[in-house]
Amino acid sequence: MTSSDIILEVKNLQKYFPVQGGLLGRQTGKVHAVDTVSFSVQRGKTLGLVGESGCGKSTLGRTILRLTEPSGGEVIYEGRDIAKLSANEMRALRKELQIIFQDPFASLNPRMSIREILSEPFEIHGMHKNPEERRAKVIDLLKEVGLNPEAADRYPHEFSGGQRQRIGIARALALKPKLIVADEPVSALDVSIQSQILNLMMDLRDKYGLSYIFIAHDLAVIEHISDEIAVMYLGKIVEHTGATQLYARPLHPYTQALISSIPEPKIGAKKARKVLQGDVPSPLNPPPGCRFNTRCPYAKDECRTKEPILRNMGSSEHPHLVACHFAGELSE
Amino acid sequence: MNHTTTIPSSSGEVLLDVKELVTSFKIGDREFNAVDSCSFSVRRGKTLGIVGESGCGKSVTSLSIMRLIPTPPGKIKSGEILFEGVDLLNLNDEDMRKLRGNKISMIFQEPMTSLNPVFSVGDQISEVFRVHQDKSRREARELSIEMLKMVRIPSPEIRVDEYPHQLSGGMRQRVMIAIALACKPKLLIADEPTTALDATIQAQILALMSDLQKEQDMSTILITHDLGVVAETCDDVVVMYGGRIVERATAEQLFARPKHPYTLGLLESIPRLGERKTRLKTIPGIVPSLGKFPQGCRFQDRCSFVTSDCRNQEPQLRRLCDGTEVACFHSSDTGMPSQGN
Repeated sequence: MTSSDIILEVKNLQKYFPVQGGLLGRQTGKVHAVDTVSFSVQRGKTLGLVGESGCGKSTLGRTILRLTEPSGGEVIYEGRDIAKLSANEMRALRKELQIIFQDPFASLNPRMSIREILSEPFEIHGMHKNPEERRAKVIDLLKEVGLNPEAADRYPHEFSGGQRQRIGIARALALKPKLIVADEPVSALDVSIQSQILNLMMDLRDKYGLSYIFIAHDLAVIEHISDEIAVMYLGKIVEHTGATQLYARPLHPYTQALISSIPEPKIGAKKARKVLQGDVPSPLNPPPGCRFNTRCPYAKDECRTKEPILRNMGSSEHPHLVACHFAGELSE
Repeated sequence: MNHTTTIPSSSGEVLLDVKELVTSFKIGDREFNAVDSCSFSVRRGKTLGIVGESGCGKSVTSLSIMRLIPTPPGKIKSGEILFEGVDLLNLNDEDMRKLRGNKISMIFQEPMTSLNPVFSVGDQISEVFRVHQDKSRREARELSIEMLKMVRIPSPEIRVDEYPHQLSGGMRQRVMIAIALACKPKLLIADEPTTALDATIQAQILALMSDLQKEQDMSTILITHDLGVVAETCDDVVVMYGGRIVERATAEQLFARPKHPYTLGLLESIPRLGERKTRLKTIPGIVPSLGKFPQGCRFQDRCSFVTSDCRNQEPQLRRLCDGTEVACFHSSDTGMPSQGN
């Protein structure tokens, strides 16, 4: 892997949120939403980030785009550390880095027509100032995402969830980005619509050579669209490898439990399921040692005291990173 | 679980029998049927799944059974809902209230919004015992702790005095289940009970529900859009589209040989683990909104098998040799013809 294949590299990224309390509103603690996370995204490929609610996957996505300021670490995009850019430099770079949000109902301004929504990126960046040209661009965008050009003069409430998500995608595409963070783009949609949007996103990726960071809680969706998958638990990556490999040979007990908890649309598919006990602990106060130890069926003394670090259990060409003291020794 | 029996018609085995139910909503001065002459039955001790996408009428169906349709604008126009032989639509409000939460219970999708934030968990479970069984405050509290134990909530003696915001999503859904099962209902209606939950918590709740169902010999109507959940928990299934039932079968038949193009489309559009393909199959288009259905078959504009028959005439449910029922001109005993996308 040469470095020019890599579009984004995240190194030891951290995001802590202060917790205030008491009479004087002093800081009483920190929520470790993203805790020392490192990975890289290859050009034209998709990295899937999967985990349950509260694991920090959305915060990670936002921190990468500097929609929230990182507390530490580096985000290196095309050789430059995004975290150190000035506001002006960052604004210029935003053309290349876009985001698609989960809720297609909340992410479009109800008082703007679709034309206004899709023209706004051009407005902000002073592009295509000729009205005719801008009009044509909007129509191109609508066609690109499979919507009718007449949609331009309508308002968000006139569209269904799937159509709104198409508009959200069109908006993200307007400035010809190179990297798109898609934060749960299909989880609010019906199954028949979900597959349409996933196909559209894959087509656009192939057509424009886009790179995606695709965030979702549904492992089947993630597996379908991703080249690589990183599994998060309580602010940490616990396993990271190729999509096929992850499903074929999950090494972390949490990944194994996630995969086994998905109900399959097939009679008799009910596996000897590993039902995890308990809930995800509060990120305010993560358990010592391995953060998964409170729910892990294999937890031993070592897991309660010593935090496992990510180590490569695969080859150097096909890395399989896992943060578990006993990975590979557990029954699968 | 026995999936092979066909749906029986003998009344002894049937707990709930819904016949030709029509529920309409008034929008402006026009009336639209959100549920349009749907018939199905729930067997004793079994689980019926009602499947469909948003807007297909599955929640309206369940609210109709509970007689919780907001009137106006909604109205149950016609049909029968026979529960143990008694037509619920003929009961007065007082009798219906005695039945709700007692013999028929419901759990909702949103455990965050369906619990009252200003009452403790114990108060909310106790209410059921105090209303339906005339228990004293102290007895009701004891019973509430029992219920929390039953839904496997750790340290129930402490949790009973906590408020909903102190509990996680999975815990809240357990409390909802405790409230619903407090009076040992004959029928539990669960409307998307696990949709708002994470995968590992969903697995816990589904396992709990199936254990409790066996313990209490209860029937369940499970409303869901997730065919994976259906495959795992249901005995019988009805598939709804546009307020109509388009297919009715045992779960085993449905997954082995889906008969309606919509069912087939739903099954094929789900990404499945370990079957990574380049493209997913899709159902083109979107569910038309209430009152905007085309003439003839409601699914025609999204169907790859469509012919002129489908545009002229609305197909009715018909019974095939294997006992499944399907509302499509093109389905046969072996499933769908092999054309299409």
